This record gives sequence, structure tokens and C-alpha cells, in this order.
Amino acid sequence: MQTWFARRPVRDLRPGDHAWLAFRSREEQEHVIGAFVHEGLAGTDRVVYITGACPRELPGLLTRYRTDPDPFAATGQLKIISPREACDADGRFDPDRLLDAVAAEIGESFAAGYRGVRITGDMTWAVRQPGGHQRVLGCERRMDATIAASTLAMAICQFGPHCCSPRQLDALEDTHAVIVEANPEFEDSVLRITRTFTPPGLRLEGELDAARHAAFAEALASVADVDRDVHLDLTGLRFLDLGALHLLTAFASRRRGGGRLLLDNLAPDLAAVIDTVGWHRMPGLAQGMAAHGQGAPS
Amino acid sequence: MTAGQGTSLIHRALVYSGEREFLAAAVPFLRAGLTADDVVLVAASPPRLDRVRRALGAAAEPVLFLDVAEWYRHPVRTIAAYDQFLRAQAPRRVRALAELDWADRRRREAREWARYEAVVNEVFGTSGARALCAYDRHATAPGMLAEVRRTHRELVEDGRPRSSADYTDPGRLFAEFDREPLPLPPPPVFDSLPIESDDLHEVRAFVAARAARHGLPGRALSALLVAVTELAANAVKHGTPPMAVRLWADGPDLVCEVADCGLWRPDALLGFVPPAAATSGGFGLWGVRMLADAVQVRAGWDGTVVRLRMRLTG
Repeated sequence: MQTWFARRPVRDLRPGDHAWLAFRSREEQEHVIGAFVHEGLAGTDRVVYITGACPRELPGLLTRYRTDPDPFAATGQLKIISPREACDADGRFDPDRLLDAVAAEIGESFAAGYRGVRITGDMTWAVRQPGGHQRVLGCERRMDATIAASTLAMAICQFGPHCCSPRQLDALEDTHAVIVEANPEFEDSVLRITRTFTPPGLRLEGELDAARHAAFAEALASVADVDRDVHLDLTGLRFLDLGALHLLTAFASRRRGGGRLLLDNLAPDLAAVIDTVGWHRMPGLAQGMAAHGQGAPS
Repeated sequence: MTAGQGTSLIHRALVYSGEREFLAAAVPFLRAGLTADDVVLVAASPPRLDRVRRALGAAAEPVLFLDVAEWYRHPVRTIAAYDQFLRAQAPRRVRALAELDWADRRRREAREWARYEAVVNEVFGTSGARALCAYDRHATAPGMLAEVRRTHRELVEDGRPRSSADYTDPGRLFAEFDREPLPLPPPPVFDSLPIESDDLHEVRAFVAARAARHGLPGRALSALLVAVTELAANAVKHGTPPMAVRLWADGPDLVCEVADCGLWRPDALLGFVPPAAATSGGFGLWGVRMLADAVQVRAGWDGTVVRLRMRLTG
């Protein structure tokens, strides 16, 4: 069983990556897949999408990334493969057909001179068929071999919420070497802010001080409408200034959604600083999951 | 007798000679509080607490006895703790008898406690609290007694209560204290880094490396980094270049100061007053004072210096 995954923002995927996305919401799918398709089309990659949707319905492409896919579909840079083409006569998912179709597209893309080919599809429908999990699992193992060997192709396999049991989902995840996630909302040499979806919130890595308050406030605004607890994953945060506590408190007080603002995995030294100035001075904020996997007082 | 917060503070200093004079003032003060159903506390050295407990006899039962060495370590934190305590006890009134142990407190600390006494008038002005601060005439330096008369509206001296003619508005007192030169200039050799942009990552890396070399423990270092970042950000915002952060060891302390060539004079009084929330004005400078073991601010025609001290031993 594979126990090691590389976690990579979508913009850092490279040929040979067979990546995993178990999205919990349409918003997450739009963030990640929208970027994957958009960056491919805006660059020099071909995009092959296995879906029953038409190009303009692809997640996030039009709404988030303002990319009109029709011209790309017309030139063939964007190719849609209908799930029907990957099924046998009885409508049952057939891994051979899908793998053949993908291999053919990779070959075609190479012949057409593309520098890369991006393959993706939401496989939830196939997993949900009777016996579907076994067939998709077998397909994924072979897909992994195909993509990993390619100097041209990268793939994101999408699985929606409640498509199978958690154990079955873990087995599928194990056939991928890379977990893909949204591109950072902000990144420089000192701070990285990434949108998270389960639980909803932001992940902060590095150091947060006045020079980056504006970027942080902008990222916070993107989670203002979440209608339950917003989580800030601070596992990788080494420094937090007093102004950031002011920002967080102001954000918690004017949030439109309900719920608290939880600081997860706060480093003990940073927690000690907040203890000194007093959690009660930050109404709406609470310490969430403790670092080192301990339970949360809140 | 009326109990309840929301009325005027009574902040009285007791300057006494000998145990009898102390108890003659302290015991009736505490008993009056018990009669009025006040929350009654005594903060003093353990031997003193014992004597007060004995003098009160059975009446001592509801009284809170606090070791002054625990409760009065750091003026700004003590004010914040009292603020929280008073809120927790509301609407009951709080009555406190306090005597600091001056034996091992240094002069610089004495000055900080004088500021504390002044700020009490400001922060708890409408708390209805009754505070009696005891000073042993023979164990307290004359200069300090003069300050006591300036920080308390009421005095009990030679057994007689009177109002203090020397009482001084806390803001004025702070301004006066802040005009005194810093006790020691930096030594001939110290570490210094110019502050040249609002990106303070480099400032923290510099301070962290130097502080670690002086042996500052990890928890104190993270507090120092937050404090220095706040001061440097303020200097960048309000100060005039050139600006710098400087570090050196001074006996048991690590000293770290942020200096610029402008005159932006942070409101010293504000830095002592516990803000209601992190969004309240003054939260930054108050936070600096909470995090550092001591803070000194000096602003003059030649620039503004904010000096932080952190104890090197935990």
C-alpha cells in the first residue's frame, strides 16, 4: 500500500503526474479543475476532458477563469470524450475503452506537436455503477502506468462527494502518486495562503506581518460567505503579528456566514502569544484542532 | 451601604510605621468590605498574609489571600488581570489591600510600579473598587513615597486619612517620566540592523539569531519577535529614517530597542490600559507591553526610542 503522496498545487503539475482530486464541493472542483484546464488552454497544452458536459459547462472555466472554451474546442486543443465512448453496449464502464481512448489522444497530441496533454474527468459516475469500484480501481492502476511513463501527459482523476465508502475511496487514492490542490491565493518568499475546502478555510505557511496584511485580508474575504466554522490551518505558520489578530477579529465580527473562526494547529509559541493578550479580546475566534493531533478546547 | 460597580474608585495609600499602625488601618478596611458583601482580597507577602488572616479571625473565611510575588510580577499584566477579575465579579464590588515587597525590586521596576499606581486611577476609575495600597514608611525610599503621594488621591498617614495635595493626573505623570533619559545608553558594542522596508522578515531573522546567541529561551523569543515586529512596523509607519533595531545583553536582561529619527511619541498611558478587543485602538502597543518584560519609550527632538527588556533566564 502506498503511504507517500506528493501534495502539489495544480499549477505545479508536470508531465508524468497522475493526480488525485476528491472534491467535496463544486467550488473546490471549480478552483482546481478550472485552473488545470485554463492553464493548459492559455499555454500550449492540449486538454482532454472525459465528461458528458459541453465545453462551456466545464467547472470554473467560464465563471472563474473567464475563458471561452468554444474556440479551443473548434481547433481541437480542447477535446471532450463522452463517458458513452468509455462504456460497453450495456452502458457499463469499460476500462479498456477509456484507456484506449486516452492512449489514442496522447498519441494524437504528440503527432500534432503539442508540448503537453492534460487529461481529466470526473469518474464518480463510473464508481457508482454496480461493480464500478473494482473496474475503476483496475483502470486507475493501468492509467497510473500509462501517465507515469509519459513525457507529455498529466492527469487529474476527479471523484465527487459520496461516490463510494471511505475505504473504497482510500483504495482509489492509493493508485495516485500526487494529490492536487488549489493554487495559492497568495505566495511570495515569506508567506503562502491557500484556500482549503475540507474543512473550508485557508492554510497559511510562513510568516504573516503588516507587509502582507492586504493579501491576507483579500484571502479572508474569499471565505467570508462560508456559512459554518471557517478553519485556518496554521501548521506551517511560524509568525503572526498583533495586526493580524486585529484583522482576524474584525473579520470574525463582520462575517456574513454563521460559525466561528478556528485557528487549527497553532504552534505552541504562537498560542502562548495569544494567551498573553487574551482570547477573550478576539470574540468569534477560537483555538481549533491542536497541533500534534490533540483534541480541541473550544 | 451600597454595593456594586459603576461608582467611583477609591484608591488610597496607607503609609504606616510598624505593625500596629498597619493593622489599625487594614483590618477596619477589610471588615467594612465584608459587611458590604464586597469581594475582598489581600495581596501581600506570605508572612504578611498570615498576620492579616490572624487579625481577622473567623471573618477571614471569604477573603482571598494572594501571594504578591505571583500576582504582582509585571505591572501591565497585573492591570489586565485585575481588569478581568473585576469583570468576572461584576456586579459585586471589589475591595483590595495590596502591599508590594520592595526588598528585591530594582529602581527601574519601582518606576514601572509607580506608573501602575497612576494607571489604576484611569482604568478602574468607575469600577467602584476600593483599593488600599500599603507602604512601610521605613522600608520605602523617600523618592518613592513622594511618587505614592502623586499617584493616590487619598492618603492615610500617621493614622489620619486626608486627600493628597500632590495627586497628579496620570497622563501628566507619564509625560514627565518619559522625559527622563534612558538609564543606560547602548554599550560601546551592540548588534544593529537598519530597518529599510516594511518587510520585517529580515528584522525578525536578525533578532532571532542574536537573541538565541544570548540564550533567550524559545517562548520569550517568540514574544520578543511579536513585540519587535509591532514596534518596527510602527516606526516604518510613523517614524523618520534612518531606523534601526539594536540588541545587547545588560546583566540578566536582553535589551532590544527600535529607534528612528522622528518624533512620533506613542501614547504611553494607552499602552497600559487593557483594550476591550484586538480591534480596539492601542491594542498593538498594549500587546507589546504585555509581551515584553519591560518597555521604555523615549521621544525627543533627536528621535524616538522604544526599548524592550526580556529576562534571559526563564
